[in-house]
Amino acid sequence: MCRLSILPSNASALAIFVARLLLFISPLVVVAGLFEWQLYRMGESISIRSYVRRYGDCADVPLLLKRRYFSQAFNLYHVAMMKYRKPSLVAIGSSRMSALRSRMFYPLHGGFYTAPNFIYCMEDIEAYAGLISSGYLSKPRAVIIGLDPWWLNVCEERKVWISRDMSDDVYSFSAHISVFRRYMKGLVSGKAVLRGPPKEHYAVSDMNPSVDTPIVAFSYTNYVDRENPPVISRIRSHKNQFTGFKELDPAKLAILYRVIGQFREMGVEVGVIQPPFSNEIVRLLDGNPVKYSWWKPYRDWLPGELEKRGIPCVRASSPAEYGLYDAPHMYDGFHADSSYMTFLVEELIRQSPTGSVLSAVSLEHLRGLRALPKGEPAVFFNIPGSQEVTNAAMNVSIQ
Amino acid sequence: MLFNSFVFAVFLPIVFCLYWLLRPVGLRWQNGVLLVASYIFYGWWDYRFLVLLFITSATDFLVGVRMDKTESDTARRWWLCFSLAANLTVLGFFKYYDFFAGSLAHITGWDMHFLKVVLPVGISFYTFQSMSYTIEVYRRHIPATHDFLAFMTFVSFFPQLVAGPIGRGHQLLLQFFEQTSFDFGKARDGLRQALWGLFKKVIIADNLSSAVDRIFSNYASLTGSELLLGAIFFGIQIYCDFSGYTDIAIGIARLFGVSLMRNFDCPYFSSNIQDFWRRWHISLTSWFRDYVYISLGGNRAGRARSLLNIMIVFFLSGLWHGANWTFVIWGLLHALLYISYLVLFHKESTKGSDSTPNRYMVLPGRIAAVAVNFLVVNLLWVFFRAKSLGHAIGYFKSMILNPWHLQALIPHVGMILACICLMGVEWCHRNRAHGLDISYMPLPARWVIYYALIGMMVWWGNTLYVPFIYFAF
Repeated sequence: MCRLSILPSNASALAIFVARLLLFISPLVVVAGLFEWQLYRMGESISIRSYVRRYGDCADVPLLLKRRYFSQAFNLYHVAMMKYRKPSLVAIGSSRMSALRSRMFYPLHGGFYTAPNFIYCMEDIEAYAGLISSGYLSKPRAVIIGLDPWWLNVCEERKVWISRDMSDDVYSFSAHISVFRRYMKGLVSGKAVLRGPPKEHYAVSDMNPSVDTPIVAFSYTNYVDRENPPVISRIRSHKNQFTGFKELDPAKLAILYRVIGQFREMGVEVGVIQPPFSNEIVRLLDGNPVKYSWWKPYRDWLPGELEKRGIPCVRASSPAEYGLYDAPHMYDGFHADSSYMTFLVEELIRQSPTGSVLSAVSLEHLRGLRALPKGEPAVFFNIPGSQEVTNAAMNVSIQ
Repeated sequence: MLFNSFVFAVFLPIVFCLYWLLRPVGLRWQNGVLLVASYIFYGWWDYRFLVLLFITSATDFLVGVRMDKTESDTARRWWLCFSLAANLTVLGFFKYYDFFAGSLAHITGWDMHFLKVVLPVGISFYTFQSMSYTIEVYRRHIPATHDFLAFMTFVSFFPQLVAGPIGRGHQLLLQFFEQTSFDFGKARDGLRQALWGLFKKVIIADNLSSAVDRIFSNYASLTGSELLLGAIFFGIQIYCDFSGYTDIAIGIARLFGVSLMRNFDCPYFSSNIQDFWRRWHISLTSWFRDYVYISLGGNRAGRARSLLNIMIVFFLSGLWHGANWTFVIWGLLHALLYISYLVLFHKESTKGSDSTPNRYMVLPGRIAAVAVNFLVVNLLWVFFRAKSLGHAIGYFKSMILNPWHLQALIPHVGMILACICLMGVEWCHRNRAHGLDISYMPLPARWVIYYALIGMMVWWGNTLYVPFIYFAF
């Protein structure tokens, strides 16, 4: 028969122990609780899962999570979104693909998803293809790859970050400790960004524009290469992703061809866009073919190779090729705005073979979306140097 | 499941509460809670490992029961051999197959088949613990148990399951047959010890690991002084990592009223190599002494045989640490040092307190002896840390041939000071159970120290995942 009564001394000793322990940890719990509440209030610790639940059905999902301390984990974010949305038309690439909008692909807009900041190397594309072939992600009907040149730079070493084992930092205890440290250092230095009213989150309504909403350019009147350091200085000094960039690495090209083959075997159509550069950068690259020996193979030779393989490829361009200026259309040396991207999408659709998935996109609707900035002539300039004349006439300066 | 993880911070209070709330219901229920908790703890790494743990436990339990049922020494010996063979086969297969296959392939040029088997966490520890039971039953030091639940709990007890201290039947198993009352002082000191262990791991060991990794990876281009510092840093890293884990294990066990054996006794304050091995990884060295050295004859078969037995023990100890010749070389070098010390000082016994010469050593001599012993032991750790013999030899070559500049140590001043402070605290508490045994201080002072340690861990702890070194064994 069990003794159900506890010896008084044992129970009281246990109770005192637990009480003292709770008393000891209560200040720590209060501090941690306040900090976590502040993180949540500022939108910092909202999980990717919550983002998917809130914005997953929007036409154009938020392209950036509102996190300033925790890792944005774009790899996990986009995979989670794609698992939820099961898109039929996917655009993948670096941040240079962030200006694509679903309504550009009318009537396929309902199944469109763009994943900028998703791909940082060739191996990432291969990993993405692997997730589709394994069934982890649903198979799209077509994939548009925003192919950056430095993915073909043998000196550019990036770790693959797309896999099934990605994790959200908001669930990581050590990540919270790191964030706490940075926040406290910020408080001491006066630079903490988690003070003040909560950050605004994206309004769901703003993420669901009508399919006919015009696509406008930036309202900048001066062009500034806003990257840090500026893209043009990186190219000139062969720094950052242009370090040691002399030619297209055959091994990385092999990965590209292999992945394209994998997609085709899965029945997925592939299109390639080489994202654009600013007018001043393209002038620099065109004017120094020996110094920037990777440029011509990337822009002129590679599209031809892809076309031989039946892959439509929009070659790297500058705004001038479409009669546009840097100021309203380039945020910096290599990030274009949405209105410029409509030209590239149009080019891709035109190159797509009849009967393909991409050929079903309405060019008429696409052209109708363009809203050029005030004063910008809607004609094409093909005369060398005409860009400077027109800019001078319009008091637009290029720095 | 790691001790320094959020999951464990949730797991432990639940187990603690269940364990003591079930005390009125009976000891079997308490053992049941510990057993389930231990299997959850271990299965968190990989649930497949649980099969091995169960097989080891079941095998040795049955062997104990069979030995208990027979009076024939021959039969008992056969059952013991069966237990040892079963345990060592499992250990050998998972830990050493690819190592020996690789070595054989290297020597003979044969095309060997490698299995690339995943090493189950803690296999070296729990198989040794389980074997200690069957050996003690065979030697009639303890009776065989017929309580399968208690025995399973003994083998799988989660605080010490994956990295020791290696428990013994006569010391640990018997505690699962006695129901104890909750001891406030024991539990409080247990938490204190666990906090100290966590501090050593998170602040010292994990922060040293990045410096050690960098130094050992780039040894060819660093100064000799930095390489020497790297060796010392690794010695302190492995001490803080392993003794930190042990402190946490002992501290947590005390929350449940269970006493684990002390595993470290300020080993870096030893004045000779024999003393060092009485203070470092005590549970393993005493295991090898009691079950290998003594079984081989100990020092009863003459001087030469005694020294040979010591060589064998150190060889096996090195091999136990890992499937790499660097560990074997490390063990053999320690054997040479140990034997040299015994021969030079004519020491006959491996037991006893302090060795004879130390009693007559004056303070400066003793300090010098401690410093030399510290240096020698840390230099030998290079073999332990190096990826290969070539790596170790290259490290030593660079240490000797590269220039020596004290300025190269300036970037490491912070860590050097932290290590000196740690050693200072350990020295001050060398006669106490652990470095944070501050029960003599008033309550407010103790709480200030606890909060300071926690604050330091939050502020300076390495947030990158650094596994416990001895998990690899």
